[in-house]
Parts: sequence; C-alpha cells; structure tokens
Amino acid sequence: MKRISFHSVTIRAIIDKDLREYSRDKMWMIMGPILLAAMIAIFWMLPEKVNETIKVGVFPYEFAQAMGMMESWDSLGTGGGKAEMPGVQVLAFEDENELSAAVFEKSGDSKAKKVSVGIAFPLDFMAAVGSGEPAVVSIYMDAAVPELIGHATASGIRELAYALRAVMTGRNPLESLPVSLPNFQNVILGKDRAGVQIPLREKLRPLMAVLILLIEALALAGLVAVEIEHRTVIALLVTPARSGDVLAAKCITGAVLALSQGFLFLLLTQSFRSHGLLVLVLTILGAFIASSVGMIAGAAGKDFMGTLFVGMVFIFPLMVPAFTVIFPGSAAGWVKALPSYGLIRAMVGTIGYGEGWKEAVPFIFGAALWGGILSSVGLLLLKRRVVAL
Amino acid sequence: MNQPAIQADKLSYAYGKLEAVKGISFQVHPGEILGFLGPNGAGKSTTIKMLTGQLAPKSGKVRILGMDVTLDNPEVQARIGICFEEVNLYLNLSARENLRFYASLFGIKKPDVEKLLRQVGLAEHAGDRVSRYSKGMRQRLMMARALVNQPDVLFLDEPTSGLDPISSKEIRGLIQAEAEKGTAVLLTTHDMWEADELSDRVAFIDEGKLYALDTPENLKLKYGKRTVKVRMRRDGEVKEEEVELDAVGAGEKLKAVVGEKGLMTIHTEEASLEHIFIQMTGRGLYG
Repeated sequence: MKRISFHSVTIRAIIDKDLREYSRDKMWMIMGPILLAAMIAIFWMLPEKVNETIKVGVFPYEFAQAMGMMESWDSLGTGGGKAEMPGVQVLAFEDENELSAAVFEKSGDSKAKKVSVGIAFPLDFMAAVGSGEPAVVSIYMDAAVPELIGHATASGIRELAYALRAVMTGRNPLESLPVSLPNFQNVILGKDRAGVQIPLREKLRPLMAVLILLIEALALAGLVAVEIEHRTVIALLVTPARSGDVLAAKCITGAVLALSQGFLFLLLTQSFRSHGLLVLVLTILGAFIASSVGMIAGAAGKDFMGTLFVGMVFIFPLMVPAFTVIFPGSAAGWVKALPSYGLIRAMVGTIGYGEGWKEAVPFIFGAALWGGILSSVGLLLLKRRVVAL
Repeated sequence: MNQPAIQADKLSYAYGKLEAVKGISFQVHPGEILGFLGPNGAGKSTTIKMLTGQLAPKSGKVRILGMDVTLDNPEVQARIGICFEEVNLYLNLSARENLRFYASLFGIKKPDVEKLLRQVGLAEHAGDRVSRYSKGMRQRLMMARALVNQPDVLFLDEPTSGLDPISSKEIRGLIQAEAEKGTAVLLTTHDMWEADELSDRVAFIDEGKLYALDTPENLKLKYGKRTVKVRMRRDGEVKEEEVELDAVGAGEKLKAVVGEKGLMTIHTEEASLEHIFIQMTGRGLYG
C-alpha cells in the first residue's frame, strides 16, 4: 500500500485557494452569516431564566389577601413563608370575567395580570361556609398548567373552608381537622434543580451549535464536490502535489470553516465563561467531525444536489442527540451510539451544568474516536472517487 | 541522438474487458512535436493518462526524461505540463489567481504570471473571474497553466478544440515557440491540418493500436498519391481529368491535357493525412 505523504507548503496553498473560493461563493457567504446571526439572535431572544412562579388570580379582592397569607400553599412545594410566598404570586381581581380573561389571555388590558390559575369564590362564600352549606368555587386553569397544580389549588380551597369554619365556630383552625397529618420528607433523586432550572436558551445552545457546524460541513462538501465535478482535482494531482496533500488540505479547510463559525457562535453566546478551554476543545472536535462529514458528502455526491442530499442524510441523525437536551429523559441506546452524542453530552454538561474535564473526558474520547472513523471513511471515499475519475 | 523526453514501451491499458491501448511504443525527443492523430475512443487520452501517471499501465513501461512515471513521482510531475481536453480551471478565481495557485504547487514563489497571460493574450483580463471567460479564453488559460512551471515535456490534449481560427492560430504559435525552446510536445488532435502544420512526426492511433509513426511528408510519400486534377471544356461540357504523377507515361499525359484548348483549371492534389488515415485504418478521424 502506498504511503501518504504531506507537504505543508502545498497544503497551505490548497487551503488558501479553497478559502478564496469559499469566500466567493455567494450562497455560503450569504447563508453562513445569516444563519449565524439568526442563531445568535434567537439565542438571546429566548428567556434567560425559567420562571417558576405561578401567578394565581383570586376573586373577590378580600379573598386574595387571605389566600396570600395561607400556610397551606406550602403543599405546592414552594417552601415559601406566609408573607412572601416565593413560587406563588397571588393577584386580586375585581371581576370574575376579568379573572377568566386573564387566564385565557383574552383581555388586552389585563395582560399584566395574566395568571396561570384563577380562583373565583362566590360572593356568599363566607356565609355558606358559616352555615355549613356547600359553596361552588370556580377554578380557571391555563392548559399549560400541570394537573397537579389544579389538585393542589382545590385542596387549598378546601383547607381554607375548613379553617374559616373553625374560626367561625370558635375553634383552633390547626386542630379542627378530624385527622392528624403525618410528617413527611421530600427525597429528590439527582440534583435538585428547583429554582435553578436550565432555561430554554441553554437547552437549545447545543442544537444550534451542532447545526452551525454541520451547515459548514455542507460548505466543505460543496467545495469537494465542485473539485470533483469540474475535474480540477485531476489538474492538482498531475502537479507535485500528492493525494495526501489534497486530502489533508480539504480536511483542514472544512475544520477551519466549521470551527470559525462554531467558535463565533459560542463566543457571542458567552459559552466560554466557564471551562473556556474545555469548550474550545469540544468545538474543535465538533469541527473535526463536521469536516469529516463534509468530506463524505462531497465524495459521495455526484453533483451539488447529490452532495446536499448525502449531507442531509448525515446532518439529521447527528442532530438527534441535541434533542435529548430539549426533551429531558435518559437518551436511548441508539442515540448514545451516534457520533455526535459524546460531543453534545459533554457540551451540555460543561456549559449547562458546569461540569469539568473529569466528566467530559470519556465523552471527548468517544467523539474523537468517531471523528477519526468518519474522517478515515471520508478520505477513503474521496481517494476512491479521485482515482475513478 | 539525445535521450528521449518521452519513452513509451509496449504500453497497454484496459477498462475492464475493453482494451483501450494495445502495446504501443514510441518516443518523443526534446524540441520535437509528435502529433497523435486518432478518432474519439482511439486511445489517445488513455495514452496521455499513462504517460502523465494518471493511470498505471496494465503492461509496458513509461519513462519521462529518463524517469519512471507514477502518480506519486513529484520529480516527473515538476517537469511536465498538461493541457487537458476538458477545461478544469477554478471558475471562481481569476486567471492570475489560477496561475499563481498552480505555480505554488510547483514550489514557484514568484511566478511571472503576467508574462504568461500576455503570451496567451489574457493580460487585459488577468483579474477577471474565469467564470466570465469565453471558451476560447478558458482554453488559452489552460495553455498558460500548462506552461506555468516551464515544463520540459508538454502534453496537449486537443488544445485548439472548439476554438475560433484566431485563437487556434495563437495557440499553435505558442506550441511552436515552446518546441523551439527545446520542449518535447505530445499533441493529440482530431485536426489533421493542425497536426500536419505543427508536428515533426505524427502517429496514427485507432482502437488502441499504432498504425503509423513518421513525419507527415514521409507518410504522404509512402501512402499518398501525387496527382494533378485538370478541368476543361470539351464539346460544350465541363470535364475533369486526374493525372497520377507517379504512373507510367504521366508526363506525356499531362502535357497533352495542358495543351488542350478548353483548359480551365489545374490543381495539384497532394494526399492529406486524413486520406492516409482512412486508407490505413478504414475510418475517418471524426468517427
């Protein structure tokens, strides 16, 4: 088997030529920056924090104050005290229609008072509780609010009724229930993210980064495909440039293109704030994988459309692991086997959860191994294609 | 005589079961232009690919400037120039950038690309992107690219194919100038007139076999007929008569014909390379 040799001057000349060609390709020169700018803009437009506070609207006004002071809201797991009630914000409404509109977002001027749950007490609620007559309390709930919140709200209202009834009959509200409540302890498996949940922008960051890297892979694929389609690669190989030089140059060009865009995205989304070096290593690895994918697509596609098709066949599966961040839960075995999984997992762990080298190293090795396999396949395909011309 | 610049010895190549080149041998010396004449599919391009290391011969040997040829022999590749039949230039780069890039692959740090572009008449468009060039301009740039490393051996595959007469003439002038400088040139062409005008020797190739290899003059003498065609008016009708100069009594016959009163025109009819090619291979150059 022939030994592949490399010559740095030749490789540099080919890279320089490729980058010059890339810079004159209107499609990539327009699409690349637009995609990058769009991703950065979307990132910054997404909410920075997860709002865990539930707004509860109460009608009539007098009950709002009473609800705000209720100890039983702790049953929602807010852990709040009576005065501040973090996790729950009670808003008073003077009209039941206004309350329901605030829940269903129908009222324009009540937007500031938009609430997730609305509780409308009947005006004779106190009298009914005092006389022991049943009273109908309406609970309005936004469709997005978990059912559990509805149950908790109903329980809270029942408890309120018990307490009022106890007060009206001269008993201690805390001793009025016919049962004694057991003590309980919350056991949280894994890291308790209550109050420090990962916002959507953080969840989308790896998906965006992978998308940017892989789009640049398509740019390399285009350059390779054009080199084959226009047979300029033959003109290269009848000069002192060796096939190894051409292949190495293509690999580096692809990595440079992907890395520059990926780096810019991560830089402008402040992804290097902690473990900057680790994030940079992960970006380089991502660029390496993207470049390999570009090489495969470029060598496998017969023309530009063919290249695009082959590129897409690779891009979609490689993006799948990024979705596991958006939709939490343990990733399936086949997702973990995908070449981009280790990279995305390490990126999420580092940027999202503040993990360090210790946690990332196994994933880095996995991603590097995949990068090596993909680049070998890409180089082999490209070499076969060139020989067949 | 000095060492041949190109030496092909019993070269053969097959694409699967199809034998494209069948044991051909020839030499080209420095300063010589060898015209490779043959129709499409005759084996011309395959031969050039073997000579330039793009294809490894199935059997036989190739030596360029005394060195063995393989694709991974930079010493050989540094001293050859190739003008491909298909235009394979970087369309998004300018002519100047194309030439500079190729020069850099040969390790030439400061190539005189302006001189080359002047030689091929592209100096005024040196900075234009090749995508805006006409076919003729691209072909001229291909020629310039083949010369960027000042090669000792030039392989020109249909260098004037599809060009206008003026561009063709300019390219032919360049080829002749290179040969005069001592460059060995292997020229493949369909155009027998071009081969005749440019080539010191011509090789007829068809179906992978070499049918003839000699100077155009020798081939014409060997295989052609020297004739004179005479047109005259006899009895109110235009008649045409052909006198074979090498036939017995040709002088007497020509004298008699020329002496006729109704003589209109006399044309010498020299055998063309195409006629000889057809005579030898049984089919034309455009077959």
